[in-house]
Amino acid sequence: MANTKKSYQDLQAELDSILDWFAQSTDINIDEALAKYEKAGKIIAELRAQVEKAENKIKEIKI
Amino acid sequence: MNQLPVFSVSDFVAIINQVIEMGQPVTCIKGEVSNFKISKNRWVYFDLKDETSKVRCFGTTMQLPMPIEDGMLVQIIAQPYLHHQYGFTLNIISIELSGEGTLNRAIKLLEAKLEKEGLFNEARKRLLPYPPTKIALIASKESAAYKDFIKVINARWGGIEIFVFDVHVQGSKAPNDIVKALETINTDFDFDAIVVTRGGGSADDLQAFSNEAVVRAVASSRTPTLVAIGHEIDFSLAERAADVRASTPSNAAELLVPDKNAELRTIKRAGVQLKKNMIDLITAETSRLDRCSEDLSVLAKNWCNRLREVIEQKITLLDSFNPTTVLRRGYAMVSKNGQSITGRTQLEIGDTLKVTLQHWDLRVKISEKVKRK
Repeated sequence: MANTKKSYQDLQAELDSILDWFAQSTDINIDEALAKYEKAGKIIAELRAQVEKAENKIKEIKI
Repeated sequence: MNQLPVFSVSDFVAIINQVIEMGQPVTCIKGEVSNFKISKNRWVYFDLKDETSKVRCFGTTMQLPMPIEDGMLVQIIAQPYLHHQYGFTLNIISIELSGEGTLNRAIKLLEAKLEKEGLFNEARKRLLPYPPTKIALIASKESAAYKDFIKVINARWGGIEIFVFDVHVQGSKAPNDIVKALETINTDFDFDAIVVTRGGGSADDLQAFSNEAVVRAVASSRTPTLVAIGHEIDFSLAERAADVRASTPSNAAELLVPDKNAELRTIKRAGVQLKKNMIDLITAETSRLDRCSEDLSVLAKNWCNRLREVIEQKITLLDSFNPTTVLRRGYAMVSKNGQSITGRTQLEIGDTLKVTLQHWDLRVKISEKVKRK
């Protein structure tokens, strides 16, 4: 996986595209499907981690 | 009677200005606008009047919070001043519009002007990152709006850095505070979104958010904006200029971030769907492989049968060449001294021959040789 952290929105879009791939592909290659399944599993774990982040940080700026 | 001092006109004007400066250097006056004029697109002149009195006011177009016209009620903060040529005037420091009728009229005029400039065009609206990770919040820290926003956002989502710019949200300082905050944010920071919010109030209370400078600052913001002023029924031009408008501060938080519990449910559903897809796929693949295996088995069986047929044909053929089979049909095999008889020259009268039948061997002697015709 790349070092740059993907946004929640990007991860969601990526997961949706994998689910669409499974839903729409008629002639599925099992190796490709397994690779996508594994990737989707990692995305779900990352999404869950982002959702479960504990607290917001509030900082006051004087102008 | 004492002799009064005699002043030059200039000295008199200077002394009066000193007296004014000592007694009332800055004053706040409310009245109705009349004889409103703008000169050279820069200078503003009007009279402020009530039932019995009027005073001349002077300012710049930059100080106009919204378009002003005769008949409007305004409250100004100004420095009284005796001009050496034009007489007594109030030099305007700030102007606020007063009364719902005046405000509504001014907002309508400004709205029409900014609409014409395209500030409210839908095509200008940008999407906010959803959810953002770093936001600027322009609000009064003491307000209920601030507390509501923070409460709702904390309940819905985590991991966001919220930079609060504490500003006046009503009164004469509010427009300048808000514009300055927007400028600072766009110049010195890099946020995903800016939220501008305050709670409900009267038209007077909310007028800073329809101030021309504020509306223009929102419209020209480099960072996408979400503005939520007052309640659902309240209206401000800053909201129209924003990329996204929320009906209340709580609604702003709801529009800005998803609800974590709903998201977790969605993620769970996606996981279940994914597993189902994979299981369906594996089931389909297993069925396909089973079908392949069955096909292969049928092919192998057919091939074996065919092979068996070929072998049986060969056995039948071989069997037909077996001498015993010939003997069974009544033929005999003749040999002399263990050698098969293949020609007449091997045989002489009196030779002993061996005649092999199906079940018997005979020893016979040649008594005669006759050539068949």
